[in-house]
Order: sequence, then structure tokens, then C-alpha cells
Amino acid sequence: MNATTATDTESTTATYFTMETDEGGITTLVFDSPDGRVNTFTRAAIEELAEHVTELERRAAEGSTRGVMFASGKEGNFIAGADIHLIREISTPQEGREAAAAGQAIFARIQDLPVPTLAAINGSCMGGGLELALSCDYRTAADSPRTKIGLPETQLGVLPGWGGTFRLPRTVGWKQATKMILSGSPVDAGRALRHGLVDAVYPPAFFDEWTRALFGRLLDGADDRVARGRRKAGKRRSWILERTPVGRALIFRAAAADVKKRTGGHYPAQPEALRVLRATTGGALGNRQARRRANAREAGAFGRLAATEESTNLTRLFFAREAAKRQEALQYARTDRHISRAAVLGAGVMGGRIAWLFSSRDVPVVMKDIAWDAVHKGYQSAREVYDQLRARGKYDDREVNLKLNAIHGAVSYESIGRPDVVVEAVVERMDVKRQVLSELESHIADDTIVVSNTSALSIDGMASALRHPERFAGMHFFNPVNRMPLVEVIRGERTADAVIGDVVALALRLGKTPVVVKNSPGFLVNRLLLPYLNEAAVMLGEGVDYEAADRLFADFGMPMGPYTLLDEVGIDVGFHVAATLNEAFGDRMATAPVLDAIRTDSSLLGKKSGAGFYVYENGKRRDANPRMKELIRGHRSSSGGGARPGDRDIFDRAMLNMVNEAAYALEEGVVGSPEELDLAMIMGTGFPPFRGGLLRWADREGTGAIRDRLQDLRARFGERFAPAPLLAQYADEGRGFFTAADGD
Amino acid sequence: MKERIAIIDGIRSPMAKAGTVLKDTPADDLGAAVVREVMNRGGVAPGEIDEVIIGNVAQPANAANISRVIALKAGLPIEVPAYTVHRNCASGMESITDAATKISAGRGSVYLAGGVESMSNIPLLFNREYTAFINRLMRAKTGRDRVKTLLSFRLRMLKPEIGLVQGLTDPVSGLIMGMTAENLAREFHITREEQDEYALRSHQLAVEARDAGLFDDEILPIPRYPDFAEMVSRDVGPREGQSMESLAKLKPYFDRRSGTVTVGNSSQVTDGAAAVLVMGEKEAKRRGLKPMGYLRDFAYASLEPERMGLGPVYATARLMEQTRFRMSDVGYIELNEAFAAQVIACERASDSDEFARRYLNRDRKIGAFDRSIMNLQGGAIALGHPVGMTGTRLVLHTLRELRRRNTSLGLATLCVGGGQGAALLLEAA
Repeated sequence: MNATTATDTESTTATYFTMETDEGGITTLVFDSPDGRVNTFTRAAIEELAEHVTELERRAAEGSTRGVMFASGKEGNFIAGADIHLIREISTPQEGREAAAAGQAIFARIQDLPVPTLAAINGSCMGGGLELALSCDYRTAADSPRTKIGLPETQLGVLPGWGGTFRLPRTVGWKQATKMILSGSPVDAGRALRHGLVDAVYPPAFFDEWTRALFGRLLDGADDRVARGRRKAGKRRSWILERTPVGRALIFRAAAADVKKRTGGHYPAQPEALRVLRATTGGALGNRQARRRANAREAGAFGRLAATEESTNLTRLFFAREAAKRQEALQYARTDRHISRAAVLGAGVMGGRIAWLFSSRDVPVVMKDIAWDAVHKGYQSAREVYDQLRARGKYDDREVNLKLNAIHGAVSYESIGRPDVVVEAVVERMDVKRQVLSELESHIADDTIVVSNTSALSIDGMASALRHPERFAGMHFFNPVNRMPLVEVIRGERTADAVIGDVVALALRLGKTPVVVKNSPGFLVNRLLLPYLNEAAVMLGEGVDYEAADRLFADFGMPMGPYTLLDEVGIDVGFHVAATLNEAFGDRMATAPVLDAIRTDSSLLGKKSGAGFYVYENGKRRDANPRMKELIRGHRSSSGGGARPGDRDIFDRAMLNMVNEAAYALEEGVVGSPEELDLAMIMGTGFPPFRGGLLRWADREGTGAIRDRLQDLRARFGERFAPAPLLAQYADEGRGFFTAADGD
Repeated sequence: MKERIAIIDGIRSPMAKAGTVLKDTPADDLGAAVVREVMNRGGVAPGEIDEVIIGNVAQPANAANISRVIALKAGLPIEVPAYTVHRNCASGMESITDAATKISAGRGSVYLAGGVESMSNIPLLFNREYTAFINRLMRAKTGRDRVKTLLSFRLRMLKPEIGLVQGLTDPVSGLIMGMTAENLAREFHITREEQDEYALRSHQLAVEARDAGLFDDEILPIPRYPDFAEMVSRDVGPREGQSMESLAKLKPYFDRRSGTVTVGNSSQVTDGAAAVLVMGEKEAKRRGLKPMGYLRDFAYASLEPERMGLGPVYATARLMEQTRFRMSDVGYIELNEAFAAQVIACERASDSDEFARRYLNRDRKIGAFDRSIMNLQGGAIALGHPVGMTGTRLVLHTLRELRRRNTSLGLATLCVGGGQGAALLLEAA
């Protein structure tokens, strides 16, 4: 080799990778995808990588390279993984197995290169990116918050299919590998070093230089730190657990129990991944025969999973979330008002949680109420979340202190500062909200964005109290704010387009998934949820065993059954929403009389009063509440009783009621598309993601079948089950809510 | 001064006896809360503030230049610089007068000034012997050295030095502040009863004012650390049941044999913070802001450390020379109650021609600090004396009283450990 460092990529088709060799004989393959801000393995990128590997093999054989370094040309990103579209395109297990095997073959060739290899992980390194890095002899990582290293495949309903299940446990040990693969959560640079996933962590500013210097020393045999570091990481692992069949069995057993607890048995990917790990414990990293067997097993499992409906639904959800993130850029104008200060009107629990949300993103927020008692509740409510996060190790004391300092209590408008956005979260009463908004307006700039966190009141009804209604929109957070990812952004009649764009951008900045909906009673999520909850309440009067019924819905995959959900929401709140929607939509949503009976007993309001359908201790659900059962029995005998509904009827009456209401909402244009509706239900109610969403599920059942079933329920239980016109139309046309072509 | 300095708005925290409801609130958090409130209210954008100046005496080791820590925690933009000032008990005035000086000199136009003190958090210190021991231990390399060093340990090394006591002791005269008050009691022949009576008055007036809600708008409630179990919104110090009998029962604290100064007739050791927004009068007009009032002029003076309690007399005399006004023009006075004996000594000295000739280089007395217009809502004896904060509180409260009493000229003055005095001439808006 001559002493120049000129790019020696002779290939003219190369677009994803460039290859250069420096005077020290180190060949660097730089991945710099033309497709976007991050590197992903598209079909073309994989094909090009294969060509480069052939070239590397040639050079290694002829001795023109001493070592190969894999690097990235992207800022803060090594490789984000395989292009998710590749997974979506897989429709049969056979196709999936082949796709996995093709990648495995390339990575095996990288591992088998006769010269040392190193992956320079300068940022996020996920999925296929980590599988590539694991195929190298050495790895370094940049010490940056953007460095996240993991195998998230199980979150998409598949498993690492390019040798990750074989190489990761042989690099970081079985316990850690099992955890990383089954949870899909990434580790940061520090943890990666600790677990031996990388050999060195360098500051980003020196990352390239120091990585090269290290690789040079390694090639010269002049570095013993890496070997020492690996021994040390190895010593941290329990020999008994890691190295003995009995120990590994213990690891797998604990993992299996954990998977069962977290997924309720609904997600096939984790158990399958665990089976693969279990079946492929034999052989060391360099054992080609073991690798071949393990890869075959992995590819087969990947193929089976990639072809499942769960995986299809989970990847769809991934795209829907990405679309929700992009929508601000695509759909909406923006005033581009930077939100550097916020105010929340109405402290209390909800206001405190919203204040928490702003403060957690380091946006100073004033929390204003009319009395210090309420402000105190808000402070406590924010503090509570921070205490939980600190207990989980998310923040240390210093961070919690700083973030709490971003929250400031106030009882007068004079003290709200100069907010760029004001979130109104006072009691759900139109007269109060209107008064608060009109008071507020004289204390803020004319272009300050004002949003109402209402769950049911009309945005237009509030807007007319404002002199500048164009800066006003709805921003409906879901409870508990710290855990529910959905925000409904409600467009009022007079809301400016740019303001919708700003609110969507704000929701994204707060880490939420925004769905824009029309100003209509109950907006989207509550409107759909209510017929479901209300029907559950109606069935109480018919003698339904609510514990068994709750289990029915949990088995379907709902995070909780309707009765537990009513307890969470608060029965008085549920009744209030029910009454509002009843008024708006008439008999179709006639409020279940039993709700009215329960809500008058202040000790039975649900979780917040310590008891509702269930008894609660320290916020944890315990047994069913005998007093509630008694109350319901009394109610039933007084209303005459009737036949006790069977499981199928219980499920369909609640669930199909919700589907039917979704058809009404779609037809009225409450939400832009069935995709957004499904996204909202998953993010706002925890509708099981592996089902793809309410309407995906409905399509799978078939619109025709649902219509017929609704007709049957209508005949037996009343007009509220009359199929919505849109549903009937789709059923007639033999199509689903999504177009027949199923366009993603 | 060229122009009056407008004090636009201000707020203080509740004042809590050290070791009570604010003991777990770090001084910087206490300061951040009041600075945030003033910033939010002030009518200027946070980025328009030229500088943050905070007075603080026992500067916490974990928050060097506490002013900057406060500014950042309060959410001021990072572009706004901040520094801490220390003139002992006058630190909370120094921050305001420093801002005034800078405004007069054209160095800036809008300042956020204040004072903060968490006397609960003044640490105990390792004594020198123990510090040396630890140093030796850290330097010891071999096991033998370490054992040898460990053997040099003596139990007496564990006796801590109390930071609070050291801070309240003047190293030049060697006297703790209470002893300087004893000096004044002797110089002016002030009896124990006179002191206790004054202390009782402070408590009675403070309780009365608190019950009448006079402090409500002055105080920003603070969530109680560490767990936010309540909002702290009232001053802890004032005692409803204070009586001459219970005051008389207390033993002299500083001179145990023949003293008159007790903890009952001295100011309390307290936690608290206060902040104000200041700018030139023209600047305030230009912005259309309505100030609480104005600082017309100020003066600092100094005297023997062992007579430091007379500081207000010296400083006021100097202020009078600078700015033509007479005591009879003054409608309201806040004179810090470091010690009852010290307040009474100031009353007597201010009313004495002889004192004026002997010590102030004037022919006639400056005029009596008149009790009927002085400290009418109690003072540091009842409310407490968070040393770095008090100065700001006195200015804030004087301005509020001027407005409430509809009188125009006010004087806020205090004595300063180490032998100084501060006096600020304030005007109602």
C-alpha cells in the first residue's frame, strides 16, 4: 500500500458505504446512507455490504489490509437497524427464514475475516446494527447520551434474526443477553462497557482518533487493556449461573416468568426468542458448527414470527407512530413559536402532572390555582412522579431537585410570568372554564398559545369567551399523564392552522403521541370508550359477574377490564362523561341507571376512594368489593332482573358497541383516518397493540360479520346496537375500514 | 445619587426558626423560589435582567457563588450573569445598593437583587487537628504508614467547630455578637427589664400583624422539603403567648454570670429569602411599570467591632450628610432588631447631642429613632434574622408600610457584625 489515505473505492455503484485504507493498513468501511439522517439496512444497503465484504475478504487474503473498522458517517448514529419495511414485506415463514439467513451469512463472513475487526459505535446502535457490531472482534462506543445499544426486535413481534441470539449471550453473558433480547430495551455506553458489550468508551470529540489509536495498538499486539477489561467484565458475571446448565436453566426460568407477567401470553415473540436461546446454548463464539446450528434455528424462528399477524400489527403500529411524529412537518403550518415557558391553570392532581411533564422536559412552568391548598396538591402530584422515577434510577437527587425547581406555584395571574403556552386544567365546568379563560387573556400576550385540557367540553364553547380564539385549541392529556402516551389535539372552529401545528409540535416535544381530532362531544377516545363502559354497566343490571367479565377482556389483551377501568377513572367522573355524551348523542348512549345509583355513594367511587368494584390497598387492586356486589344485587332485584348474559354476549356487547361508535366517528370526520383512530385507541386506552388497533381487529373479524352480530344484538337488546351507516355500507361493499388493498 | 432607583416588586419566603419547617430546604432553593416569583411578576422579560445579585453570609460549600446557582435554578436565561455579595448582616441591602450603584454608573439598567440564608444548614466543621489527621491518612502510602497515622488519632479530634458560632463571632474583637450587645447595655445602662419589654413588644406586634394578614402578600409559600408534606406560608418565630414572666425566666446566654442579653431578647437564628426587582426611575417610567417605591439614597458607615450594634446611628448620620433630610421627615423606620439592647442603644444614641459630638462629628443629635413609627410589625426578635436575607426584607417591608400608612419617607437601617451600619432612605411611589 502506498502512503496516501485517498479513498480507494473503485466501485461506481457504491452509495451506502465508502471504503478507505490508511497508511497504517487499517481499512475503514464507512456506512453513510443517502436515505436519511440515520443508517438502516435496506435491501440495497445489505447487497452493497455483501459486495464490500467480498472485497475485504480479497484484501485480507492478499495481505493488503491489517484490520477492518466498521464506522458510520452519521452524527450520533451508528446503525439504527434493519429497515422495518423489510419485516413488513415478509408474508410467509419461508420468506422470513431466507431473509434472516441471507443476513446471517454476511455477518458470519465478517466474523470469519482473517484480520481483526472493530465496530466504532458512535451513537445509536440497534437491532441489525448491533448484530453487525457483535460480528466484529472489538467494539468501542462514544460516551454520549445518544449512544443506545440494543436489540429491540421483540418489540416488533420478531426476534434478532442476524445472529444476535447466538452472539449476544456469548459476549455479555446469558443473563444480560436474555434481558436485553426479551425486553428490547437498549443500554447506554456506561452499561455497555460494564457488561463487556463494548471494549472502550471514548468522549465523542476524540472518538474517532482514540478508536483508531486503540485499533492500531491492538493490531500491534500492544494493548492489554481490552483483554483485561473483558476478564473483568467476565468476573462480574456469576460463574454458576452462566456456565452451568442448571444455572442457565434458572436464568431462563426467571425470564420466562417475567415474560408471562409482562405480556400476559399475548405476544409470541418473547417466548419464541427464549426458546431459541434455550436451544442454542452450546458452543463458543468461534465455534462455526454451533453457529450454523444456532443460526438455522434463529432464522426459522424469525421466519415464523415475521409472518404472524402480531408482528404485522406491531410493525404497522411502528409506522403509525412514525407518521404521527412526522405529521407536524407534513400537514401543519407552524407559527414556529418556541415554547420556553409554560403555565398551567388549575393545580390539583392533573395540573400537577401536566406541570411535571413540562418540568421533566426542562420547560419552566408556573402552576396557578386560586388557593395554595390546590397548588400544594399540584406540587405533591409532580413530586410523586419524580419520587417514582428516582426510585427507578431514572433521575438522581440533583436532577430531581433541578426539575422540581422548574415548577413554580402561584395563586394570582400577576405571577404567571410570560408563558408561551398556557394549559387550562381547571374543573370541567363550562362556566368556570370560560371565566378563567377570559380572565387569563388580559395577563398574556395576544399570540400566547392557550389550550384546554378538557376531556369532554366543547372547545368552541370555550373559544367564544376569548378575544383571540384563533390561538386556542384543545390539548387533552390522558390520565395518568406520566404514563399515557396519547394527546388529543382538538381543533376548534376558529383555531388557526398554525396553532394546531404548534400544539402538535409541543405534544411531540413533551414526548407524547398527538392525534388531531375535531371538536365534537367526547372527542375521540372517550366517545369510543364510553359506549363500551356504559354497556358494561348496563350488563351489571342483568347479573353479570364483573370479576369474570373483567378477565374476559384482559384475556383479549386489554390492560384491564371495563369495571377495573371504571374504578381507575372514578365512577362519578365516568357518570359525568356518560351524561354529557348521552345528551349529545341521545338514546344510543343512554346512561346505565346503575351508574347513577353507585355514584351517589361517595365511598364507592373507585380507586380514589379506596373502593369501587374492587377494594384498593395502597393503590393496588385487591379483591372484589362485597358492598358493591350487594348494591348491584339490590339494583338488579328492583329492576326485575332477567337472563344472565353469556361470555360471548358480554364481550360483543361492549366491544362491538365501541366498533360501531368508531364507525360513526369516522363518518363524521372526528379523526382523519382509521390509522389515527387505531393509534389513538392503542396510545390512549391501551387497546392491545398486537391486535393492530380497534379497526384492524374489526376488519379481521369482518365488517359483514360485525354488522350481522350487531343486528342480532339489536333484536335482543335494543336499538343502540343498530349498525352505523358507514359500517353497514362497508359490510355491503365487502370491504373493511381499511381499504381492501390494505395500504400501509 | 443621580436618579432615584425604582423598586418594582418584591417578595419574601416565610421566615422559619432554624431547625424547623425550612431546615431541609437548601439556601439556593429558597432563593430560587423568591427570585422566580419576582421574575415572573416583574413586568420585564427574564432575558432583560442585566444581572442577579444576591446577598448571603454563610455561603454554602455546595453552592459557591450561590447567586448563580439561584439564578439558574430559578430559570433565568443562562445569558444573565449573577454574583454574590457579602457585607455580613447588610448583605441583603448590599445587593440592592450595589445594583443602584451600577445603575447610576450606567453599567446596567435592570437588576434582580435579594438576600438568602439557611442558618439551619450552616455546617459543623472538623477542627484543624482532625483535618490534619485526615490529610496525613490520605498521604500515607504504605500499610505501615497508615497504621502509624491511625495510631495518632485522639478522641478530642472529634470535637467539631460550630460554623454558626464562628460566623457570629467577630475575629478582631474576639467577641460573639451577643457580647457586643452586652457592651452596649453597659455603655447605655440598659436594664434586663427594658430589653425584655422591647422583646415582648416585638412578639406582640408581629403576632398582631400576622393575624391581621399584613404579611400575606409579602410572603411566597414554599413547599416543605423534603417531601412537600405542606406549604410553609407563615413565619414561625412570633409567639402568641410571650410574656414578661417567661422572658424573665431565661438565663443570660452570652455572659452567663452578669449578663442581661438572653435568647429571648435577641434575634432568632432563622432561614429565609427575599428578592426585589430594581431599575432606574426613568427606566421604570419608560416601561410603564408601577414601582412599589424608590431608593433615594443610602450610606454605609463603620465603627468599633465591639460596639457594632450602634451601626444604624453612624450610617444614618452619614446618610443625612449626603442627602438633606431630617429625622422628622421620616414617616416610618425599620431598624433591625439584632438585640433588644442594641435597638435601645440606637434609640438613645440617636437622641443624644453628646453622642453626636463625641462620635459622629456633628453639633447636634441626628434625631431619635422614634418607637411610635418604628418596627411596628415586630422585628428580628420575633420574626427572626436570616442574616443574609434581613436587609432585603427590611427594604421590602418598609416600602409596603409606607404605602399602607400613606406616608412618603422611610428609613431602613441595620447594624452589621464586624462594626458597620447601613441606612437606606426609601420613598413611597
